[in-house]
Amino acid sequence: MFLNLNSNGMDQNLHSTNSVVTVGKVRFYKINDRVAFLWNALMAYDGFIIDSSNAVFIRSVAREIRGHHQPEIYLKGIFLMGNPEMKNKAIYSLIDGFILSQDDMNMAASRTQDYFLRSLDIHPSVPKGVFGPIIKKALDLLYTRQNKMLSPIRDTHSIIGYNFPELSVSFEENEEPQVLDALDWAEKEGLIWPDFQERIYVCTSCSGGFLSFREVCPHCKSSNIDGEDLVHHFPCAYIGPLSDYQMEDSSVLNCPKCNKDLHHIGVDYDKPSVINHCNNCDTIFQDVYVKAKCMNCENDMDVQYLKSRNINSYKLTKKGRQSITKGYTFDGIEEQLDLTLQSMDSFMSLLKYDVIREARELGDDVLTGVYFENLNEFAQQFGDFRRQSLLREIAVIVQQRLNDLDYMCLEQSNLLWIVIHDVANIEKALENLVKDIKDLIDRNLPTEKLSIAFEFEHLKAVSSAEKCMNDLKRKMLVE
Amino acid sequence: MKLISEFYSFISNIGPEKFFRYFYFFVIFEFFRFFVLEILVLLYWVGAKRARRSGMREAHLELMSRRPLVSVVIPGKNEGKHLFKLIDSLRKQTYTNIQIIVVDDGSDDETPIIGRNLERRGYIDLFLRNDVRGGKASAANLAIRYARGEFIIALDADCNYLPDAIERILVPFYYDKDIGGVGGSVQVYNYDYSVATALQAIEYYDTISVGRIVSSELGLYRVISGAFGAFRKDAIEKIGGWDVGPGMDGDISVKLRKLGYKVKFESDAVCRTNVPNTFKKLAKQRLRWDKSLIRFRLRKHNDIFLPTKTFMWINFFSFLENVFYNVFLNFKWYFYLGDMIINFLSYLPFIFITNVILYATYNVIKYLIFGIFRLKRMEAIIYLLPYAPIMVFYFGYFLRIVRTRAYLQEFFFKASYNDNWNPAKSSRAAKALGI
Repeated sequence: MFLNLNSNGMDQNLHSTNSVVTVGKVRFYKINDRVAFLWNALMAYDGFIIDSSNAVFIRSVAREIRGHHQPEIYLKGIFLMGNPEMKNKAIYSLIDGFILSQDDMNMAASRTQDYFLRSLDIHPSVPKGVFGPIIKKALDLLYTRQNKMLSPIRDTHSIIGYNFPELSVSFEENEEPQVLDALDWAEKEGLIWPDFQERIYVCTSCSGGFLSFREVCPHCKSSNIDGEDLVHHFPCAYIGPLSDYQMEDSSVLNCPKCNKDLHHIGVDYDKPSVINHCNNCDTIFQDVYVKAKCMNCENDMDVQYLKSRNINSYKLTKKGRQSITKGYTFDGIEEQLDLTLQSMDSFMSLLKYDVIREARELGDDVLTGVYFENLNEFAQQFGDFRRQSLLREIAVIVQQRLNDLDYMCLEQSNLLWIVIHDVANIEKALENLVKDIKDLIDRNLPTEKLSIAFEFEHLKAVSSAEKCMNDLKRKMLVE
Repeated sequence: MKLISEFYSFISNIGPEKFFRYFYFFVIFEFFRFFVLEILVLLYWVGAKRARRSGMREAHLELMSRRPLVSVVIPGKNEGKHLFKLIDSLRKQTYTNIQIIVVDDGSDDETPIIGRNLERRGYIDLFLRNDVRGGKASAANLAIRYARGEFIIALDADCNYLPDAIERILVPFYYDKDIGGVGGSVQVYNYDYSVATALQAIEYYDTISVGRIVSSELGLYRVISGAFGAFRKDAIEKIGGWDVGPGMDGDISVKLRKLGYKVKFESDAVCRTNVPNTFKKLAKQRLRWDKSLIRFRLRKHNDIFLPTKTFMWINFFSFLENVFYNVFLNFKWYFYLGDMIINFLSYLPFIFITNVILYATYNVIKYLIFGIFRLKRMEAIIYLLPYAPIMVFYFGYFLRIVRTRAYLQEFFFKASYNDNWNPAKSSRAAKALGI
């Protein structure tokens, strides 16, 4: 059907109901906010025209289309009828153009055909891994739209304050940090190339980017603090907070020591520093702590432990383009565990073997549990990433003290199991091990104290591996 | 050989009358005051100390049962490098109820980083920094402004303290409630570094420590060392803390005395300090110290000599003794020298040699006898013995020349106000007020 344009270049019919608009061989499905539409039917059309000035509606529809799991839908062109002044950047990123005239209509049809033709080049394979399908969608979009970049936009609805519309459609608003993870993943795989835009700091717990920075008391961490200038009176060497010099009935500053009025700053007095007083715990201090409270999860963190994330815009790499058209040849990157750590299953298998071996008196092996009592508090304070780093460092230290035959595994992130073969003085060895770990904490986190409990059992005296582990666990965790 | 035989002849024919005529300065002013009188007082001190023993024991018990909070204040500039060692010695103290306050007076080195780090680790309770230097007095005053202790102990950062030092310096406050300040005994830590430090070590052991025992026993003690002094917090607040230096330690002791507080020396409370290791640095330090005698004794606190409302005989004698022996006799010595040149020019070399022998012998004997009264902790006694004879040059010539120069500079030019030990802004303001 050919459009019958009025003097404004618009077909009145387009504004009335959901309908089909055909331009040449291209059939658009026109969606407006007055009439419900059927998702099932969408696949039958080549593209979509959204006829609405309601930004929420436009965004909602565009998200639905781009967030759809089928490429037959999410790759289709989306065009907006009118409203080129709309300032919602997220919408700009999700749509492919505006229709204001017949020429625009033709342009939309032409682009839609292009998208379709390019989509034929796309290889159906999906990269493995959690983010594989999501990244594929974004890359497919990049490929079909040719030079289009994945660009961040500022968005107060996103919990990190930024939004990557093409990717974010696949996540809830509170899942935005995963968009960054997905992009990092794709970048590591060499599929996209970053162009730095901004660095943000996010919560160590929920990765939220809306943080309230407050100066707090270093002792009780209360933000109920008051600061004052210190005033130094040169002639008598008295120094104290400004309030010491203030009089009730006069605006003139008067020295409490020599009773002389202060006249000119720099001549008879100066303000060499400031002093803070905590109204909560009555502590005096000069250097405030700066804490960041996450407005999403209310986690309160020292700023030095905040996670930093780069906000980049991305464009497809050569490898990315090849992968889209020829298939993804890699297996995806999974989080690699430390090679020094066994999985729980393999640890149990080895342990059972050693228990049997011990029963035949073939050695003197010891099962040891090392329990990090307050490691969860560390995670809350420093975030999972730093906790993982810490655990890796600990694993390295432990590994250094083990022989080739010894092995270990980590249970629930805070309980380290180790089987040590033929050690002469196990207690001494474990004390040294704990000391090394505590030294590591002291060196890296001098203000923190990690509580470590350990228990051990000679495998000779053990009837079963599971019972032995449960007994040790009870001693460490309960007793 | 001719000189030796002439010297022998001079000595053989000298007789008591001529001996007194040639060496009256030594006999009257040095020997009697600094040897005979001091030994007599030391003997008295030994007895008095024994008599005080039970009282001191009770005072000690009272201290340890009450365990008052003591604020240890450490003001200074660019002292960060000393802090860890100092804090370490404070953490080993037998008296543990202490609040440690370090004040950084506008350091331009790593002191702020070191101080903040120690504060974060809980090794010091409060680290205060003035971004703009205000002088040591203001730094100390800032510390006492935020001190919570019943007593204040002022320390120098480049010192370290024997483990019982704080406990011992506090006991006198419970022995006599009128005591407002107690000075600790300062020993030389780097005594074996150079000749300059060895000679100062003897000076600190004999003249300063023994001298302070004697003056304290006589009630004339007037300089609580800046390196180790303890004060009652209420007393120090009454006198408004420290005034603009240099010479703050002597000044604050006098201010306490003027308010009627007793000031005592506690020889068992030991602090070890690093002294200047070259004569050039030593001269600079002593010029500063000696100028303050003129500035504070003869100018700022000259009301002690006047019959005012606060007049006290004990303070009068304390100052009189101080001015007589340090200022008057210093210049009197030049008269003695002139007297010898004018009247006995031909004998001058022999008088000089005899004086040197007299003083050297006197110094060695004094060193050995005073050793009896010294602390058992004195480890360096044997090491320092060979240096005792040459103290005559140190005391008699080096320090005398430095002292003379300092007095003249301060008398005529008020040079202490130009000393860059204090920031110019503070000195200028203090000079304008004549304090």
